[in-house]
Amino acid sequence: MNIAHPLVSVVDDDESVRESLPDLIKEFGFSVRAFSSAEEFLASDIVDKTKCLILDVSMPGMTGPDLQRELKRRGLPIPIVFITAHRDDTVRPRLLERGAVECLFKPFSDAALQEALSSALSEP
Amino acid sequence: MEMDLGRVFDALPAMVWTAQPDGHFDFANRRWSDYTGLSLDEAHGWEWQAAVNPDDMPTVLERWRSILATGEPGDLEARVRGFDGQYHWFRVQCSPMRDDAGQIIKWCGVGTDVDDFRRAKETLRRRELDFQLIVDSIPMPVAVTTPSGEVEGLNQLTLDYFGKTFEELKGWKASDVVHPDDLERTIAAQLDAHRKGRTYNVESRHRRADGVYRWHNVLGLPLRDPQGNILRWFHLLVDIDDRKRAEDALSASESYARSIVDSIPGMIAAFTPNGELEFVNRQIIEFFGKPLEELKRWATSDMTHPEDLPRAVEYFTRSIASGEPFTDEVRARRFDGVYRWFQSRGFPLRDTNGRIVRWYNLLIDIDERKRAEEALTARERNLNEIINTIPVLAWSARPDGSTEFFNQHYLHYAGLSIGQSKDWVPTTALSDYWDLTAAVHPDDVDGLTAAWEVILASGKSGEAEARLRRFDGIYRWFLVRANPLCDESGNILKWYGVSIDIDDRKRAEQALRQSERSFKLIIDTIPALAWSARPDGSAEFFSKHYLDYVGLSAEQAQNWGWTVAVHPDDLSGLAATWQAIMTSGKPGEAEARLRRFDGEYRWLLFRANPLRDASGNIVKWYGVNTDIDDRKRAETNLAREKHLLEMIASGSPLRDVLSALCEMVEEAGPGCYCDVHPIDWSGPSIEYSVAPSLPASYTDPIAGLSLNGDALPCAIAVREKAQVVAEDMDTDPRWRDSSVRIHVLEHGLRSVWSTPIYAKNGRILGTLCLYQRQPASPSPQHQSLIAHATHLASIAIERSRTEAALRRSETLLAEGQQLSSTGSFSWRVDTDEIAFSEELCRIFKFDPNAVVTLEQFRARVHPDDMPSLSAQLDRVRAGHGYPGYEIRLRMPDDRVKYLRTFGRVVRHQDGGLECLAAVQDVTERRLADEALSKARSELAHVSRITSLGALTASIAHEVNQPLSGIITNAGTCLRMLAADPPNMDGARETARRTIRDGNRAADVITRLRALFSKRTPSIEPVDLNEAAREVIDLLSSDLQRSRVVLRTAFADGLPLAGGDRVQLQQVIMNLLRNAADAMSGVDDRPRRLLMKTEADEDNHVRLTVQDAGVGLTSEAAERLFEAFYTTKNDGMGIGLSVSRSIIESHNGRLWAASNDGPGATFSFSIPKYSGDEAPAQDISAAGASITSSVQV
Repeated sequence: MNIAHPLVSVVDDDESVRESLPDLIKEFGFSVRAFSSAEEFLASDIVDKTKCLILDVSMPGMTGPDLQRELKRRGLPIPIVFITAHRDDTVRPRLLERGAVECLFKPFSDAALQEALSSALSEP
Repeated sequence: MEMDLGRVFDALPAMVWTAQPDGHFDFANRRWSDYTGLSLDEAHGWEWQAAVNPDDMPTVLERWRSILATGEPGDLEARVRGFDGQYHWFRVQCSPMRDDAGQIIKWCGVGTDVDDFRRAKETLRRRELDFQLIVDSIPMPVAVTTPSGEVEGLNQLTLDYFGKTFEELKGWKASDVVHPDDLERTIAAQLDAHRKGRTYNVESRHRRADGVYRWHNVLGLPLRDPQGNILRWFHLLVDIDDRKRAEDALSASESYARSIVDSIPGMIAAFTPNGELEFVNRQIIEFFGKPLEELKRWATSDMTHPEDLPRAVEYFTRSIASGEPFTDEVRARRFDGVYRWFQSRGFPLRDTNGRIVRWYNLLIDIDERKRAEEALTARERNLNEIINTIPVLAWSARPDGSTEFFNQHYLHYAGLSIGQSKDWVPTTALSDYWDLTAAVHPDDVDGLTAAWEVILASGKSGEAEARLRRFDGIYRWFLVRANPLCDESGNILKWYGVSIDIDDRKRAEQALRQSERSFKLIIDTIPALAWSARPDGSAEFFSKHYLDYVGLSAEQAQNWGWTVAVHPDDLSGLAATWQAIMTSGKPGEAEARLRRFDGEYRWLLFRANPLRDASGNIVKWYGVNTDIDDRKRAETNLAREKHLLEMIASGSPLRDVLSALCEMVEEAGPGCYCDVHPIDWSGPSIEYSVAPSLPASYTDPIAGLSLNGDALPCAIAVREKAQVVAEDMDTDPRWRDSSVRIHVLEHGLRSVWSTPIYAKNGRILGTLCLYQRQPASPSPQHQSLIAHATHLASIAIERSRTEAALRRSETLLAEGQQLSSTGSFSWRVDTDEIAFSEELCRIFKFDPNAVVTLEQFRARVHPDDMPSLSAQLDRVRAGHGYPGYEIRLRMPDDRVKYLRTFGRVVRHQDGGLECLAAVQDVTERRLADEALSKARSELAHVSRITSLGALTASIAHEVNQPLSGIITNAGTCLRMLAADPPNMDGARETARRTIRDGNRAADVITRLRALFSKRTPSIEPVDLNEAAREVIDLLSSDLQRSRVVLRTAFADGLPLAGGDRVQLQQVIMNLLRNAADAMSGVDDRPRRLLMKTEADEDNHVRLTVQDAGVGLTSEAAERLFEAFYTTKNDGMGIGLSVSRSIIESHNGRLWAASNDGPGATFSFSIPKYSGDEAPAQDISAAGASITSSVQV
């Protein structure tokens, strides 16, 4: 893994997100992988190589928060940037409280994402 | 003469003695007294013993007695005391002297002093010289010969007498010293004596020196050594010429009588009473050529043929002893040596005292006859030999029937040969052994004897059969045939017979007879009427059964006689048929009535079969008649029964059927009256009485009579389930005081037999009564008839009752079909025959009386359903069964009918398929269903509207997703364009995605607009029970599909709730659906669902839905009401959150709890209607409320 291109993983059941977001993140200069579900991500070989996880909140099956809990259980403190199409203000503080780097409401700007990513990757 | 001889003996220089046959000495010569010194008297009797040495006496006596006993010459030795007291050894030789009859008349002995022999053998020669001297000194001519007859010595007297020398006399046999007439006899006597070792005594004439023949008695004595061997012979010539002459003189004195006798042309001999020949006539002398003296010895001579002699002697001596005459046939030897046959007859001559003084013997020459007989015998022998070679059993018999001869085959066959000799057996001997019945089977002896006697009496040829035992003990049948042999004058001379083996034929005959007998036996035993007829059709034979049957004799029945027994009405038909059968030459049959011996005409089946010979010509017809009267009757009964059953089957009124039954019974049982009573069990009582032959006055009172009570025989029969027989109502004590008795008797009836009629299940349907006008009890035929009739009555009554029941049942069915709008049809798949029930015709609007065709049926079917119908019909035709389906009809008025069918396909025994189906007109229900369905869809639509508040969030989500893509893509696009160099391809791609996501967002908006096109809710009083029922009705099919068992427990008098009815129904529907879905995976227990309503505290009304589904985990319970939380794969997860928002908008509460058992319970509680509720909140407010309540 090239240190100049930290790996960012995207987990979202929405296909358009999985199409568009990786391109944008690459533009930011990161390596990127996209998964359609939490289960798919967990099953992949890059869980421990992922430097930042961009994670959808609501997904069939394992939800974003579920995956967050699972990674925490496994002792994998991957910085997580939640993204969600539900603009529920009560949700964001709870997610942040549980350790998320950021929670972005769709649609979000490329700048907000870049900032969240920087923030995530800058964490110790 | 004896005295003379005594002197001679005295002169003999040897001790010579004679003794009587019993051994008594009666003479001893002087030499004896000279030597012993004893007087002659002292030698007499047994006194000579005194001269014998006592030591030798036992031997001497024993020997002497032995000699006496044997009668043969013998010798012995003993010491004899001389006058000087000296004993000398003497050899004593003894010889018997026999008379002509061979009887010993005297014993002669010569005692020879052998003392010297014993002392010195060398003196033998001298003694022989002495012997010569002795011989010489014998004062009579003596010749001594060797045992072989050679002359050894002659004394001087001999030489002197003959005047010849010793040498000359040696050849005396060839000279004339013995008279030529006597020579042969003399020589023969000598030779015979020499051969036999016996003395001889022959009279012959000897020629003296002067040429004169003088009669001499030549006495020959053998001289033996002590061992008994003959040493030499003495021949004493005793001159008897003087005596002979004296005898001749005597003869001359009888010459007169003799001349008479001699003149008889037969041969006559006379004997003394003791059998001594006294005289013979001239013919005898001439015939035999012998003198009387020789003839006297006839018994020991060959004058009689040796074969005949023993018998002749026996007859003679027997007659002499008994005095009875005798007759014999003997061969006598003529002088020339030829034997001729004579009949010899002897008879006694008695004096006045009856004493026999003389025997006469007459000899008649029968030689010619005998020779003729012998010639015949010889011829016969020749014939016999021929016959013996013939390979048949042949025999002959005398005219009197006694058998004479059996040929060799006969003997061999019967094992009757004498001993093992194969020589021919003289026929005369055979007939002594057997007669014709020898070896004949004991059972056949009498028959054969009788037959033989008949043949003999008739004198004509004849034959008989008998079994003859073969040598191995096996009997075989023979035909014994006898033929007489007659002379010219017709007298039977002889019977000739042959016995021919017919055993094989006999056996065949026997077998045939046996077979015929058994055939006849069979024919007569078989209880069939058998007959045979000639080719022209005339009857030949009738079996015993036939004759017995028609009561005709065989003679009466013969030819066409049997036709008298044929029923006049049937005769012409039978004759025609018989003629047709004969013309056809093939087996055939006919039916006709034949009068039985008792006058009764009975139906018989005549069957005839032709018997053909080898060339195919009919030689005989055989026939059997079978009594088919019972069958005919049965046929009649059957026809009647058939008629009866047809009546039953065609549904004739029961009374008519029973009436016909009664008539049938009465016809089959002459003299009977029949009455049938069906029973009405509601009484129980007699329903009515059917008795066509009895007056109404009899039957009418019976109808309606109760079966309780003993009065009616029928009642007893029913109660006891048994036949009741009243042989005579008049006297039967059971009805003595009964009105029934009077009723019966009044109608002239006496016997009543009542029998229960049983149904198949054993229930009694009625009774059948038989009456007779005289006392009677049922015969087996009656019983059989009753059994039959009750059976038929049972069928009739049961059938009638079943039909009544069936009619009721049909009516019910038709009613049911009409009420349920259900018709039925049957469809014979192979023939396409269709039968519609009345109701189905009504549904299809077909004419109920017309036959429905498949085409008519198809024409009614809605065109859109034709393909489906065809598929269904094809399935049935293919044997796949009847699935049940729905189909629409388009009626002539264009109205559409919905039909639902159920059915099954039956495969008949003939393999044909039949489809039976019920068809229900479900049009009304279907229309109701459609209305319901419409209502449901409207409700669902409304629910979508009312759920809008809650849906907003999800709508936002739906919209935000494409928006997010648009923005991201747009951002990306800009960055790509801003890069150096700009990533034009990436920018183009992201721009394209931007457009696509924009369109997606627009679509979402379009859908939202549609969602918002409905009305808004309002608060009104709602009967929660009724609202819930409507929901249940809406969902009932879903619930049933889900196999949910729903139970409702709606509280009575439940207060009305205040709220939006549709919204509340949406919540109830949501809860029900959730509950049903929660149980969709439950298969191990009933999917029970309980919905109940109740008044809750605080003026609330509560509705609870309790399921038995998967239940709730604590976490699920916690998050249940979150929007987008779902446990279902296909749910959006907004139902419960929307429901909660609705309930909360009604100021109510919605919650969930786990059950103690499986499943969960959801409840909501809302305030009851008070009339002053605030208008229902805006759904958006409610949605906000829901949103706010969602916990993450």
